Amino acid sequence: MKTDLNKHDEFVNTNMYVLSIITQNTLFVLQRVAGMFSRLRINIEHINISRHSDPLSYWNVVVYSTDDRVWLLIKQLNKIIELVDVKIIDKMPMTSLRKPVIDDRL
Amino acid sequence: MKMAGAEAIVKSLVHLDVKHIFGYPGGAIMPTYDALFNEENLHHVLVRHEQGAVIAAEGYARLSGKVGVCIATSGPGATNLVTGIADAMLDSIPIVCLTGQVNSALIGTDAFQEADIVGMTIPITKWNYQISKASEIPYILAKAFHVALSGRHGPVLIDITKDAQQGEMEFDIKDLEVFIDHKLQVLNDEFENAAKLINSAKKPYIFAGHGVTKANAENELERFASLAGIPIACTLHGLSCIPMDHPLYVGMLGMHGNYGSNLLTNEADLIIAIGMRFDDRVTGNLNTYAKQAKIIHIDIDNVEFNKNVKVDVTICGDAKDVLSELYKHILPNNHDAWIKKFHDYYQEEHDEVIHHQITNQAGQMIKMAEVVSLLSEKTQGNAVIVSDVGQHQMIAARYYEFKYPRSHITSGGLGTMGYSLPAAIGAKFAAPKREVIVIVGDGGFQMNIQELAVLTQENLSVKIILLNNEHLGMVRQWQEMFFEERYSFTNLLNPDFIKIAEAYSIPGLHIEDASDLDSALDKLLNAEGSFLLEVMVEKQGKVFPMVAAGTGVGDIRLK
Ligand SMILES: Cc1ncc(C[n+]2csc(CCOP(=O)(O)OP(=O)(O)O)c2C)c(N)n1
Repeated sequence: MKTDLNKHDEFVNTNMYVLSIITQNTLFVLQRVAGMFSRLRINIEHINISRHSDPLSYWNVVVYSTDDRVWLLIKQLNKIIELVDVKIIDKMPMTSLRKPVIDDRL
Repeated sequence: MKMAGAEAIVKSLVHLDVKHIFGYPGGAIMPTYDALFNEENLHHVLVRHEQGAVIAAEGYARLSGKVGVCIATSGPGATNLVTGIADAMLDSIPIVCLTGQVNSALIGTDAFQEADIVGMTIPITKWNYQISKASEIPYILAKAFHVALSGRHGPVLIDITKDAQQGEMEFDIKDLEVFIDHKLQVLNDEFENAAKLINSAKKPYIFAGHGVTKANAENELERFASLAGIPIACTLHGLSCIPMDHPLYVGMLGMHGNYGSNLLTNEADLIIAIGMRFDDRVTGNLNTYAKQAKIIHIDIDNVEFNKNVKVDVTICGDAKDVLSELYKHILPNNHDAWIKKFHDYYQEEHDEVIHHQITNQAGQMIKMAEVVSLLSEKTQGNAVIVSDVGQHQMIAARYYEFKYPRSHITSGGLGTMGYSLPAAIGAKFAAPKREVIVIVGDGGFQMNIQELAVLTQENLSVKIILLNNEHLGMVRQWQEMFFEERYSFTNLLNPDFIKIAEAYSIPGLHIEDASDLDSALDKLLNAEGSFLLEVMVEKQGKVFPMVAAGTGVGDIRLK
């Protein structure tokens, strides 16, 4: 049952990440940034983008992934010329996310 | 100075030190072509297919170290560039592609020859941008050149609407001079950590990649390796960064690299990877790759660190800067017993493979390696070899003894068939005095064969060696080895290539007999201008050694 164990490992390594991204507010920038997520097969669970008074867009993105993948994503995002900043502002293990669900049922 | 956008494009290119531009005209780029008509400082090369233009720009960039530039019209002109742009992305080649675009008022209306080339090329460019106002032109072009050539090199596409080309603008040279290259600052403790590993290693091993050539760091590499007595293997794109007869050179890495250089990857106690990215064609199966070794990774792009292989020390920077600094931290050393292991394995590879590949027994058809090996001897390793993709590419890489930097040009990352002829055209413009020799298969030759016309029209001297096995040889080899000899659609019924060359006024010679090879190569090398030598080679030839897909470097096969 090795595969199941692996699956379990993957689950244990999976976290929820909240990314904060700042980009210039230009044509195509949504495509550039979103394309980087899909190229790495990281699904976007939640996204919120707004423009403040300066000509910048502020993004909040929630993904489920692993540390390795998210670091690669961040390094790749940093190559986008229109990107001003990207950082992880929150990280929560999937196991801790699951708990409340189980607790609710008990 | 007031001028039209199109004129500003041309003036900007001239100011950015562009000497040659490869392109093909059409409706949406006609204003710019009109401005090119009278420009004496910019030589336009008319290709026969836009893929030829973008690959020629790559060839130019690879040999010159400068930005290669190509230009095409909107719609089909732009989409024809896509393969070459992807090629430049994977091989980190600095090129700028200019495309015409329909009038900004028509964008989004499915106008004639409208294609969203910016949207399409986002994942395969370092940066791209659509200019819709003439006033943006100089600044954006300067930025395009800066992006292409700063940090890790790569392709940039600038899409320019027809109205931006026709609009009036105020041209100010200052707009072109805003970008300065900032070199990456490297932290000192990384050097110390690296030096500690290097000074205490018993079996250190250098992997030299494309980054060495890109940074012009050949001398720094040689000096560094010689001081510490460390053997050097090259990746496909690292080839020619160190002369192959250098005592520290121990072979090529990767799927069809040398026997010892692959095997000993799993014996080294320290790997110093310079400007290479642990591509899967180099590493094979990662689960059995260099597990025993500490690894120092030097690269200009931090994305590469720990991407495929976990490493111990990383130094992010230009190979030239890093190697000159690292040199100060290391102690003189030698590792002769370790280096001898490479030579022993080489002897084994020579006896099992190389010897048979380069010698002809009576009655045998010519083998690819015989041709390349004799060519290497006759040119004394001095030529620029531009190879296509397939068996002949691996044979060219394995059997040509490169002596000078920037002598090996091929499509590595994308493996684009049809690359060699247009790339050689670009290379010849970059280095008109060097002998540029194409080595191509009968499959790949027919992918951009139309560019023969450029050789004639531009009066270029490019020597072409067509290694004709009447098959898509590399695919045939895999079918033989891994698909139970089911030769599904890999034999080619070919045209008379010599007649084709003649139709373009290029002289040619066709040979089948091994006894004709010597004089045929002399004829090719002594020809005044371009020349096509077609050599009929063994059909069942296979490239060995080989790290079969899915296996590890330790499983490399000699047969
Ligand atoms: C554009 C493109 N299409 C398909 C391939 C897959 N491919 C890789 S090598 C090869 C065979 C090349 O045959 P040929 O040019 O005759 O060279 P040979 O291997 O016989 O030396 C093919 C089809 C490719 N690399 N590029």
